[in-house]
Amino acid sequence: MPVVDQAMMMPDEEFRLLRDLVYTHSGLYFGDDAKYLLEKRLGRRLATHQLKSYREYYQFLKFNRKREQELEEIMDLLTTNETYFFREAYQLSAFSDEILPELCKRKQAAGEPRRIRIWSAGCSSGEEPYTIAMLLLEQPCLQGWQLEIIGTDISQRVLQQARRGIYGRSAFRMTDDYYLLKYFEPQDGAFRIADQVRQLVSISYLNLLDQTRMAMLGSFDLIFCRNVIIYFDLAVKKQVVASFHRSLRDGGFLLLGHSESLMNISTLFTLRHFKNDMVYQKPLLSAAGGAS
Amino acid sequence: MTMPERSSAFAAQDEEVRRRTVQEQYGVPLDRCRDLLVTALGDDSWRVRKEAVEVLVAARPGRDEMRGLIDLLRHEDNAGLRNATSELLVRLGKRAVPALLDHLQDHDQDLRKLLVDTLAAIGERSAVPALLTALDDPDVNVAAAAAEALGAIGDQSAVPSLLQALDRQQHDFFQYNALAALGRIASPGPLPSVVARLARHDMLRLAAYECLGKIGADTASADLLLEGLQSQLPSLRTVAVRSLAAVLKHLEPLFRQTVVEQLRLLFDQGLLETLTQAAASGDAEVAEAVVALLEALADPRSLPLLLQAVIDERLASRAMDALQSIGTAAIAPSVARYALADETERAAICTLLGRLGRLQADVEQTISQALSDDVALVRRAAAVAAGSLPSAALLSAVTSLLDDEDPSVRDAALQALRARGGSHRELVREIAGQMISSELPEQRRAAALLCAASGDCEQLALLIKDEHAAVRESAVRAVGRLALAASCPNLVMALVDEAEEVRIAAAESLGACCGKHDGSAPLRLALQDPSSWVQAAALRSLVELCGDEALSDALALWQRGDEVAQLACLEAFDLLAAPEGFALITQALGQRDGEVLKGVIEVLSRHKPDLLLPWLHHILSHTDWDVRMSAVRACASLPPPERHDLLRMALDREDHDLVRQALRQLLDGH
Repeated sequence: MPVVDQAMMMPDEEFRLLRDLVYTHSGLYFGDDAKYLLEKRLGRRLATHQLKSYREYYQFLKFNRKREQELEEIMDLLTTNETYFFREAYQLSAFSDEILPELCKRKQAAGEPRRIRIWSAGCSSGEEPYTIAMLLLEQPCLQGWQLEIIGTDISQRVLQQARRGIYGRSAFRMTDDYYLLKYFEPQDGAFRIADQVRQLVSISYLNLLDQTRMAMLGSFDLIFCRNVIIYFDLAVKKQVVASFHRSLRDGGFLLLGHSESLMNISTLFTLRHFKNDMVYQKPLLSAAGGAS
Repeated sequence: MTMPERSSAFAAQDEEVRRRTVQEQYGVPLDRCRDLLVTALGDDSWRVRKEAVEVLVAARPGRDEMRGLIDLLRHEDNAGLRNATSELLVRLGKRAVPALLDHLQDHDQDLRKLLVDTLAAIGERSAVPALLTALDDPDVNVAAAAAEALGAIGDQSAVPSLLQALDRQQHDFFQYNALAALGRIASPGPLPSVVARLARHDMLRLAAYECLGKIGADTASADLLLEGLQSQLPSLRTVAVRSLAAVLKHLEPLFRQTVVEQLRLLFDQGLLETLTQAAASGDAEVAEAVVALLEALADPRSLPLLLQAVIDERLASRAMDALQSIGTAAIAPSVARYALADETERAAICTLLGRLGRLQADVEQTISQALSDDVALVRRAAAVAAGSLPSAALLSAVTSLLDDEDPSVRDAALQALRARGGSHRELVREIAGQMISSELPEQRRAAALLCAASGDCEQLALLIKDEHAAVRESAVRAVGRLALAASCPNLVMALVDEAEEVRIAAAESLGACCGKHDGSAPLRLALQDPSSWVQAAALRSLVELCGDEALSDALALWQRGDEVAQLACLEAFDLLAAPEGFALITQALGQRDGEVLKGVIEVLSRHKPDLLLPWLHHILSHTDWDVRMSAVRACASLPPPERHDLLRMALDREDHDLVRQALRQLLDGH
């Protein structure tokens, strides 16, 4: 919901400079049609710092000793988007009904450790990693397995919300009462995620351009990165997708948002046609499949 | 791996093996892997085809090899091969253009069409003459593709030929594409007769309306679009809405008013319904156009539609302006809607009532109710509105929001009280007095701001000595805003505060509070502060107090300061119009980078453009586009003969769209 403040007009030149600065810092790319977004959301920072123009704000971001702190503020402002539990249900069906059983079977057949690691990249306020955790807990084939979900985001404010794990009604618009009753506890008119779910999930800060920190996360069986790469330009998309490829184990899966694809970004993944959804997979050399 | 091994690996069934085999050809000379890569371009798997495109792009094929690639486009039975080859040629870009042009007279019309599409995707201007010829291609598909390609390339010199071709070529398909191309490249101006004629042609009306939205700038265009608003077809009405809003922007006020009057007449004939349907189309541009038309109409009946538009962040600001344009006639219907409105609409109504600034009983009651709304967004909007309305009752109610759980509401409440500090001085002072004794630094900081707003100097003198730096900073700034001469000693002490923010605030405020006699010496000492932000603030104040006498300080600081200090020095040289300063900063033109260099260019272009002249070629070739942009602006201060060749050369090598646009405008004399 927008707040209608009387925002200062952002000249094209300052828009480009600020956009490039945000891009260099985070890889987030704002096209010309998103100028209004920078104008409205960054306009509030001018008032906070008592600056007279976006040019002054640009200089503030370049030279001020608190520039890193201010860039974090900007990330919070620019990446705030609404999310909710059990978003994109058809993909979650593919995940729990088809992908997880296949992963289980494959690991058992290969005699691999009974362990599954999942990364929720761009986890926002935590709805996605907690949804994944609930679905894992509901999987009969995973009883007794070691389960781990890592949720990361570039906005520190949403990470705080994710760690707190308390959600208002609007976060449950697609949640079956079964899950609400089983995995949440009412608290002051809101709902707190149950400890058995929280135990599976670790929340951490991560800039997807930061290769070193990304390498520290280790390898995964599955990566959720939904509605995140749409904010990147082609060069950063390629870089991030290549990083996902490195972070995935052979045969691991990459789940993107419904409007996202790897078309013209990468040929490293095959596209698997499941009953409920199409999903990218890091090829297993010996495996058949991989529709063209 | 040897070639036979590669071939056998490629014949393998596994898609991943084939992809990796192609990937292994990176760096292999093209004559040794051409056959394999051509096979891969026609592979069943898109992953293999894409990989082959990547490898061939990296191999940089020559003109003869490109001819061979173009022949692959003739394979009608393998769409994957044709698509991959097209993509490859596009990726080869400018280098592929001569080979593509060589084949534009080929006997195969399908090939000619594909080549024209490829040229469009490459976007190279050298293809324009050949494409103008192709407008008369015997195959209408090729001619239509050529029109589309000219639109994509965006060379305005093609406009006259496109208009002539529109007259000559009678095929709807061609005319549709040519109208779209005109819309992309022609400048707004008088309505061309051929476009007016085609706008009455059923099959082409939509394309003509789209085109008018881009090139229409007269009442003749507006009249056609007003007709379009009354069309039976929703798609035509929607395009007419978007295009009419665009045409209105270009009309002179008098003509604009005439068109708006015609729109008003339509309001009683279902225009609001048309606009409501258009706004629901999901197209952001159309929704913006709807809001623009409603703003021009300023009719209270559009209130519900505009309140809905406020929900969209992209439209919020414009929609609120449109609501405000309705004026006091919007008050009664807004207040009437409030009780049943959702939270976004309640917030929007509060904002509107505040902006209209008319205090009457129903307004006061609505805002008062909103101040205790459950939703923070509404409370915040109500607090902002209360700051714009001269009501002591509302102001007292706002006080309760100073410790609201939501920081944005607290901030809005504080701003509201500050805004009324002059008109309700005693009340605001009383509130500030209560907050001064708070244990919370945030409250004491707010008290400082309220003391400043209500001119309470005594309390401010205490707050300057607060134990919390943020409170001291606010108090120091407040003293500066009030220009309290009596506070000068306190400000001097604040110059040696341990907190940088306080020292910056003190350096800024000293210029306003202390006279030259008391202020200049401490400010000169502050120029030695370890923080460049303090140095910069001190220099600005020193210039304000001492004028030309501060020049030597600025010259010295320029030599030793960092970028922040130097930006302040540039302001000083600009303000003092100091020749010594200009001579000094000219030395920096060859070395300095980024913001400082831009500042130097701007200052010199205002005062001594002749000093810039020897450097302009160098700066116009700078690696940073924003520095080049400053250089282009600086060129405007030179006489046209002196700048023309420089700008022409710069345009030839420029690759940044904004800089190119600025160069073109300057060359065209805008």
